[in-house]
Order: sequence, then C-alpha cells, then structure tokens
Amino acid sequence: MNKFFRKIAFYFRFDNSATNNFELLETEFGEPSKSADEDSGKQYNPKDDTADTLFYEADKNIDRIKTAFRTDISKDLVVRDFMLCGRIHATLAFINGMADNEIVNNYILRDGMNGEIPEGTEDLCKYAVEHIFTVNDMSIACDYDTVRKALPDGKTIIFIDGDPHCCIADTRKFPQRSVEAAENEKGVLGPREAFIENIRTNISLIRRHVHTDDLVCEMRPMGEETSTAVGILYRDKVASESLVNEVKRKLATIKTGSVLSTGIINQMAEPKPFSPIPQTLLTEKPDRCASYLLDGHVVILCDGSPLAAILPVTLFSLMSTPEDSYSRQVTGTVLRIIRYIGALISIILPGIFIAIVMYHHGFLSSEMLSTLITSRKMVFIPIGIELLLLLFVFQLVREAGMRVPGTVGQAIGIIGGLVLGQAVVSANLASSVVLILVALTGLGTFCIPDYSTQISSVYLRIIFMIAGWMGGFLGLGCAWLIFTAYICTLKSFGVPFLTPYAPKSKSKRMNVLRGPINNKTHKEDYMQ
Amino acid sequence: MNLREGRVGNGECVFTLVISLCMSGLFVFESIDAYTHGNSTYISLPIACILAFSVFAVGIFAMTRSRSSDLCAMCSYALGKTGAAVVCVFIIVIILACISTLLNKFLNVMYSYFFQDASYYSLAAFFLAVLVVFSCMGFETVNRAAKVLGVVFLATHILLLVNSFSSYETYKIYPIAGDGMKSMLRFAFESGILFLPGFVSALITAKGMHGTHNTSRIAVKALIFTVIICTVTQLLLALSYPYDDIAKLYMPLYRMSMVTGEENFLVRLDKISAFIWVAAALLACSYYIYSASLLYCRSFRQVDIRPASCSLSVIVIMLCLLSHSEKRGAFSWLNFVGDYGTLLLAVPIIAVSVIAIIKSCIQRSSLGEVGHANI
Repeated sequence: MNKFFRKIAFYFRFDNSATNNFELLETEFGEPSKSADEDSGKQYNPKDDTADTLFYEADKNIDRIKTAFRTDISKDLVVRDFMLCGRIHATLAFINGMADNEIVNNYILRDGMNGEIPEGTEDLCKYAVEHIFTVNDMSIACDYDTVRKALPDGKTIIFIDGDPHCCIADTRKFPQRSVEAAENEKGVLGPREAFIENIRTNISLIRRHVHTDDLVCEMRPMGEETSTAVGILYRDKVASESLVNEVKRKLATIKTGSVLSTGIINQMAEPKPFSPIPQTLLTEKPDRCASYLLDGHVVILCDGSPLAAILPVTLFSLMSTPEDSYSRQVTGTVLRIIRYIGALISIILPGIFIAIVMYHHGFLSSEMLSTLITSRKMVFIPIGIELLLLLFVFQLVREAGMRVPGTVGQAIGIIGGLVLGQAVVSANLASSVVLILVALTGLGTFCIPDYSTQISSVYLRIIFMIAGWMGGFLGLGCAWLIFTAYICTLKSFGVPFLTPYAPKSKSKRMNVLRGPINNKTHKEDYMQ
Repeated sequence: MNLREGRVGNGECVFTLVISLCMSGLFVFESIDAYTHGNSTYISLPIACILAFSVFAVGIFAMTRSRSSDLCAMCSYALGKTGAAVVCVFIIVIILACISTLLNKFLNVMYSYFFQDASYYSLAAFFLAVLVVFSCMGFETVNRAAKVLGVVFLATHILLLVNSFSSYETYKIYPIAGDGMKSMLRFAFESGILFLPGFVSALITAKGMHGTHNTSRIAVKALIFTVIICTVTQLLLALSYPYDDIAKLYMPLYRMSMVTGEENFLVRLDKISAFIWVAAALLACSYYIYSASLLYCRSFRQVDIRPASCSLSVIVIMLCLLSHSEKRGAFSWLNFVGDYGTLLLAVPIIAVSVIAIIKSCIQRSSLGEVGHANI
C-alpha cells in the first residue's frame, strides 16, 4: 500500500523531474533532456565481486561444492580425482547430463593425465590451460561465485592442488530441438527459420545475417537463482551509446530471483510496463532481428527462450512485418494499408456501432436501420451487453483454440465460429448483425502482426466501446483524442513512439506507405 | 521545472498553429455580425489574419532585439517583474475569454444538433476531460497530436468543400465587397481577435519552438496556410448561400454540407465533419490553455504547469456553462471582449514590445558609448 501511495505522490509532486524517462538525442534541435533521470544513459559498470576466493587445496574446494550442491541428496554432480601430468593432484566436477562426456574424457582427463608440467611452475592453472588441456573454450577463475554459476551452466570445473584458481572448460551439451520454421510469424517470402531455446544457436543465426565485425554480444547473468545467460546484441559505433548504456542500466536494475524468458525481462525493462502499448518488439525470426540490428537497434536474447526483444520500437515497427520488405513495393504498400485498416476496425468498430445505434440513428440509411431493427427484434439483451458478451465469447474461443493442440484447436475455432454463433442467434441472445461485427473485429485483430499489440487491442476496444456507449460520437471522439495524446507522449527507450512521422526525421524507413528499397547505407537518424 | 515543453519540430508547430487559427477564424464569429451587410468575409478574414500577424511580428521583433526567449521574459525586461505579472494576467484573461467563446460554439452545436436530450453539463464534462489531459501532458503532446490529426482534419475539410460543388453558383456571391470598404475593414479589425490568441500563444511558447527566429518562420508558414484555408472556405460558402440566407445560419459550414451535399455515399459527411471539427476545436483550446498556463507559470515562478492547466481548463468550462445559466448577464464582458478584443489584446503587446525595443536600443547605445570610452 505504501508503494502505491508513493507512486501516486511521485506523479503529483512538483519538483524538478518532469518524467523518469530516458531520452535519446533527437534529430531536430536536440540536446539531452534535462528532465530525464539522473542515471539515464550513464555507463553501466557491472559489479566486480571477487571477494570470495578459492582455497589452495582442491579437496577443500570440492567439499565446498559438494555441500552447496547437496550431493548427499542429489547425485547430479560428478566428481573425479586425477593426477595432473602424473604427479599433481587435481579434481574435476561437472553436472551429469549437461556436460559433453567426450570432451571431458578425451580433452581434459586424457590430456591432463598424459601431459607434462615443469617443476616449480607457479601458475598451475594458467599453464594447464595453455599447454595441457585442449578444449577450445577455457577460462580461469579465482572466485567461488563464478564456479557456483558455471557448474549449472554445463561447464566443467578443474581444481588443481596448490593453486587458488580453477580452470573452467566449456563442455556444454544439452538436448535441444533443431532450428524449425517460425510458428507465430509465418510468411510466404523470406526466410522461415526461427530462434530456439539455446542462446548460442540464436546468436549464430543472427550472425549468419549480420556479417559485420562491429556486432557485439555482451552476455550478462540474470536472476539470483537461475543465473540465466542474457545477451545484449548491438553494433558498436552504430547503435547509440546512450541507448546501449540505458539498456544495460535497465537490465542491471532487474533483481528478480528467476529469469526464464525474454518476456520476463521485457516486462521488467520496459519504461512503462503498465502501458497498453508495448515498447519492445518480441520476435522469433533472426532475419527480423538482423534488419533492426543493422539500423542501430538493440536486441536482447535470453537463454531458454525462443524470442528476441528488439528495442526501441515505434508504432510503425509494431505494424510492419518482414514480408513487407520482401514483397514488391506496391504489394507491400497495399498489404500495409489493409493491415492498418484492420487494426483500426479492430479497435474502433464496436464503439462506432454502439454510438450509431444508441445516439446517431441519422447516420444509417432507412434500409440499414430496418435491417438492424429486424435482426434485433427478439433479442432481449441491451445492445451494449450483447456486444460485450459476443466479444467475450470470441476471446474464449480464441484462448481455447490456442490451448488445444494441433488440428483439434482448428476445429474448436470452426465449432466456436459456426455452431456457437448460429446457436446464439437462434436462441435470441444476439443478433446476426452484431455477430458479423464481432467477426469483423476479430479478423481485424489478427491483422496486427505483433502478438502483444493484438492483446492490447482487445481491451482498447472495450474502452472505446464504453466511451461510445456513454457519449456517442462525442465520447468516442474524446476517447480517441486522449488515446492519441497518450501515444504521442509514449517513448520507447527514448525514441518517441510515432517517429519518424511525429517527430519528423530523415528516416527512409518504410512507414505506412512502403517506399522503394534504394541503395541505403546510412542508418536511421533517429537512432543516433 | 515541469513545464512540459518537450522538444517539437517545425512541422508539428505549424500544424498546431494552423488548426488553432482556422478553428477560431472559421467558426467563432457570429453569422449575423459577419453576413448581415453582405458577405465579404473571404476578404476581411485574411486581412484580420494579417493584422494579427503584424502584432505578432512587432512582438517577435521586440523579443529578438531584447534577446528574450518568450513573451513573459520580454514583459519582465520591459516592465519589471510586477508589471510583467499584471500584463500577463490580463493577457491570460483575454485568452480565456477567447477559448470559452470557441468552446461555447461547439457546445451549442453538440447540444442543438446531436444531443438534445443531454444537458450542457454532461457535454462539457467530455470537453473538460480532453482539455485537462492535453494541457497537462504538455506542448509536445499537443503538437504531435496536431500533426497526427491535422491530416484527417484537412482531408475531411477538402472533402466537404468538394462534395458541395454542385451548389456553387457565382450569382450568390454578390455584392462582392459586401457593404463597402468601410464595413469590410471594420469587420476585419474586429475579427483580429479571432487570430490573435493563436499568434500570442506562439509568442508565449517561443522557447518551446526553439527560439524567436524559428517561431517567426513557423508563424509565417501558418499564416500562409490559414489565409488560404479561410479564404477558400469563406469564398465557397459565399458561392453556396446568398448573404441574407447565410446570416440566419448558426453554423453555415455544417448546414452547407448538410443541405447541398450530393446524394452519394458521403451524404453523412456533415455529421462526421461536425465531430472532427469538435476534435480540432478541443486541440486548439488545449493549445491556448497550455500557453496561458505557461505564461502564468513563468510570470509567477511556478515549477509545475499541471495545477495551472487543470485550473484554467476548469475555468474555461465554467465560463461556457455559466453563459448558459441564469447568470449569463454577469458574463456580458465576454461580449465586450468579442467586440473590442483586438484592441484589448494587441495594445498591451504592442506597448510592451515598443518599451522593450526602446530599452534595448538605449542599452545598446550605452554599451556602445562605454566601448568608445574604453578605446
């Protein structure tokens, strides 16, 4: 409750900060916003915690690991003592099922036992990594925290007697699914492959499209309990430094226990998590990520999630698909216009219908009015309730279709649409005109490419419906004005949501009308 | 400071200014005043707009000379803090009167043509919500919304004028210059108050428009577009109705579309355009309320604009509602503002500008003398 009141008080306080929003430099007469948070855009400095060091004795280190991983109960941890180069006691540990046994056997144990190490060598771990072990990805650590996080990651830890460091070998090998076609972002032209749950594979899928040397992937462990690997991808010197710093700062403020998906990071990193409009774009297609990376956007990947978060985004990004770029100009333009009309129908058509039927009969011709009256003759429910009821039923059918797998899910859609709809009309619970309206509204919803925006349209249309119910076209117009004001104010990581239309920028990026694909080597000016 | 100026571009400011000027210029004046002695509004309104622009030009020149960032700074420079506060309050009152007149017009339209069963209070509540939201969200929001919606407004307006094409007949325009040059110029002078709030708001928000030079460029572009739109609209209106018929109409543009529109799928365009005009009027009023709030905050060193915006929005709505109540007699000063508003708003601005110019000249000459003395 205190937090709630503090939030209210924060909004109404009259001190210096206008908003807590970070702002990118804008193209027209820009200078850094004085109203942004003090920490906005500052360099991210990760916490350096090397206080908890390892022991010189390998046995003590292993005992500590065994206690932490509860080997008395859980038998996942595999511990193997061996003599390094035939004379120095060493111990390795890994989690059964997560490490590649072949690498452990051949490139650590065999090479470790058969190697040679000169007498008097002080940095044993360093020497072993450079001269003995033949694993391609190895590092040296001196703190317990790194060891504790590396083991569940599938890596193998090697402790050597007489050295307070340990060697960490990347021996990860998990069962995972192969790269398949995208399920939720289907297309006719263009690549079909989609991300999977392994972050390394996802990064490689992106790197296949972006062959520049300035593509940077910074990895961060997130989640106190899960230590999930999160990757921040951007093009160095192309993406705005302020933007990258702000993204890192936002991610550093996430203090949750578990991070299992990009969606969780999304919710916690978004500037306005309660906004009806999403401020990041979730996608499962590597080519889409690559396209935005080339323009200077930042992409966030999360290990265990087949989705990538692209930021910042604008309204036009949320409403466009990669298909628009792969099609010819006229085709792409027509498809976009249809999509925008569909989105508009989805949000505003129920409100317009309610306003006309309840307040503005003069808008309808006499034939249409008589059709409407005839269809509603036996319906006893008020028209507003009828419309709400049918919209709710539509959502139920949609949710049920998503939960039920395979062809049965499709059948649910058909059953819900045809049988239920017909039954509702026959039972005089709804009229056929309203049923058609709800169907059109639903089709318009599916025209919106982004899933989060689709869900937003569901409750936005309820708000417009209520506004139309209360005040006819006046109420609807006022609600539309307030909604326009809101999206004009909205920013996605410093970029105004309606860029490049308002504010205008020199961007040649395609908006509502798809422009020609020219020889374009510059990046978007509003991303600088 | 939480004055919500944000960062806006030239295009957005032009859209805002054009919408504000056109809404005032096309809808606020009473038909009986404008058309009784012949219809020459297609000449007198552009003259009124240019007259208002000349007041703006004097103000912006004075601001440039005195190196003031906005109107409040110029008033402080010319008159000191107390004097500036008095002048600013006076300007705010006049602007509020203009806003209430514009809003009242559309309140009457909504009540008379669409919601006869509703009360003025319930209709005004919808207006209040929009005004509060826009004026509190700030300059950036108003301007961007104007750019987003401006295209819709313009498209609907053009469609409306084209749809009534069949009703345009040249004989209806006579007499061409109305009742003569004298009445035309008198009406032009009185109509200056229709356009002055827009230009004065530009002076107030000059800092948000990135300086006086940029503000003057924006105002020139807005002037050109406003003159074209107002002239063309009034001319086509004059071609649709003889002056004695149009003088009896409360909202001639709305009636023109309703009565003379072609029987096609756009037959309901009159009603759609009425609501679009309401949206444009609310946007214009939000801009005026924001600029009045900004002037108040700068004059009285307020750190947050939201209390002022909310208060002024409520005051404007109350003025509209009270003019429909039994106490409407107490608000006859609104009619006084309507008749003499050009003088009431232009004279303080010109006076302050002249004082600021004289002061800056004196300062420069004294600096020049010191420079010579140093040599």
